[in-house]
Amino acid sequence: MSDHPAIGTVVARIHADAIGGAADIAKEVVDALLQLNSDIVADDSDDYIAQIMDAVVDILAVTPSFAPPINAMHRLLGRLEAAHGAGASVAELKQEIQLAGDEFSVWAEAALDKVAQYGAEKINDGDVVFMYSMSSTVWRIFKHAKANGRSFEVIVTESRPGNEGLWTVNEMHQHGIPVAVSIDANIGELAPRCDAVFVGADAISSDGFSFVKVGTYPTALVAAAHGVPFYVAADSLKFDSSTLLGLPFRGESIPRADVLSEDYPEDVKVVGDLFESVSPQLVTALITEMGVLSPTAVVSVMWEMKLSERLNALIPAWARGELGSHGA
Amino acid sequence: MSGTGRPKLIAAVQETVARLDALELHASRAGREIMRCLTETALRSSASDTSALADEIQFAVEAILRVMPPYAPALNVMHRVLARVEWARTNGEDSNSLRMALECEAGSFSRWSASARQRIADVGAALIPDDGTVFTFTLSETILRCLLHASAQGKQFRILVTESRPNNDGLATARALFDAGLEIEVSIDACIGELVPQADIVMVGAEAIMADGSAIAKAGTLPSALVARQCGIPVYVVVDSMKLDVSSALGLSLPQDPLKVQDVLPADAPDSVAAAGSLFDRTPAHLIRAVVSERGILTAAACSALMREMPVSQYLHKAIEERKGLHV
Repeated sequence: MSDHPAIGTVVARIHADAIGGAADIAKEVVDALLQLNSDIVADDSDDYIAQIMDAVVDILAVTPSFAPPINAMHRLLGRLEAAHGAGASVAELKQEIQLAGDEFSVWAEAALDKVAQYGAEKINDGDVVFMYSMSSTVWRIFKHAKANGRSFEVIVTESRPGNEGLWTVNEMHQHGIPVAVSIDANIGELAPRCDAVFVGADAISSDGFSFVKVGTYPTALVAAAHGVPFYVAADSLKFDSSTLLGLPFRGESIPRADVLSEDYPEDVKVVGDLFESVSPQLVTALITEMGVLSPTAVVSVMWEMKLSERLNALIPAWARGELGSHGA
Repeated sequence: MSGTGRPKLIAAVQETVARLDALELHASRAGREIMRCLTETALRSSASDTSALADEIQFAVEAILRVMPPYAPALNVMHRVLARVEWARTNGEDSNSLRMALECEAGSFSRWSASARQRIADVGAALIPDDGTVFTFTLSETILRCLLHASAQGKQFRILVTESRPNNDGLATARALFDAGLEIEVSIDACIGELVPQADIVMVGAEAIMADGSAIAKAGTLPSALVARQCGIPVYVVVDSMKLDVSSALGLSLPQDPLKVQDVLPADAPDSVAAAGSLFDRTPAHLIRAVVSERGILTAAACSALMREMPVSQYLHKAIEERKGLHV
């Protein structure tokens, strides 16, 4: 278990679901690892790597199937392993991680800009677009479309139990994009009225399933039934390479307190998960930094992703929820 | 109006109007309350001729129509009363005979209502599989009776219900079933994509069945039915025949109640953010396996045939047409 305060903070924030979307979690994870990196005092490179891996296990243990922080760690650790294999000193390893972290941040920004650019092409003047929950990636698409001079309206629902849809209301309002809000139960009435549906995802599997906020699947079903295009906006950081190994998405249950008040009888159970999957058949296209793709094209990108051996070794236990916060 | 000036609304009508406006009366209850207050209007009226009595009843109907949600039983009760009034006018019946006839109507309606409830519970309970799982959406007293009846027959089954925002009627269903000793599991509306596939049968109530066999039901029913269709799970709409909206056969329908912005956003939300959607959605007939009624299991065509037998008031049809302009 890492005793660095930056790691403790990011672990607590992921655990409390205090960070917006999965992409934002990746940024905070990289920042925390860079802070740890610059503060590490290590006897030798093995000790250095052990300290980094302690932090990685801590972060992984509290992370559900959010691909971006895991892919960000793959990038950093992959570079670390390559340098270590070439016999780098502790100082050289620290420099390599810093470099990898800086490059990651630049790459991630550029990728999101491209997603925004390609996604904005799917919005026409006069459109009403439906969005489920919140996604900083989809927000970027909308802002890009507005900057391109497109005039359109956004409809969003609450997205119980966390009500992240109301964050979208604020964001749109602050950027002068007309927005209307409704309850999740209204998707059957609202999605058919819209010209397109945009959602973000927390992860995309090797067979093209999107792991998304609960309520997105029935929205996709309604959209498909009415011929409304359904777009998932996700840069390649969202591609979950662990699914190539046949591992499932790792979800979380809805906390009882989010649905029932304390005085409700204990015997009444609360069921359901906070996330669910949308099959590729319901997705018109995946909007990525590599362009507008078929969701099943994800696998060819995954084959080329550089992965860390050490992180990959932890993934099966993580996917089964067996990775404790005190080590595997 | 007949020389005596504007008719006044009796207290019972005023109270019914206030409760309808506050959405305190569900569809069937609204029908019973309207029958009660219209009969009372007739009995308390001092009108000495049929035309004056008819005016008073019509005045009460107009007040009710101004606030009434699209509840078919309420409309059908008004059709029944007004059709009788129209018959009296056409056939020169005196006001006292009309009063007695209306009192008689109310009595027969109440007897029909009680026996219909029992018959539906019998038919509905027969559909519930032993050791199976039932998904239901929102609060329907008709569904509650079916579930309780099946349980009393010794059937064991699992019940799934979601909150049904904005007024969380689903939690009231859960409470009622729990109090009756049944096992119940609850979730959020967004979770229908996960929960409906776990069910063997979906049973929902409705506000109205339209002439094309579609059901106007609590928002969220349509996407639940779509998920059920995707998984081959039968959807039964459980209603008595008073829910068949005879006016819909003429293309007339009451305006849908819109969702209010305060149902979704806090009071300090910006004014420019609108609420989108209604409290009810429309599930098309092709997503409904059958309508379960006191007349047995009905197809959409059987519903249309039953509508042709029901009493119809020309005055009420005209008032509904006009209400489209009146309604805010």
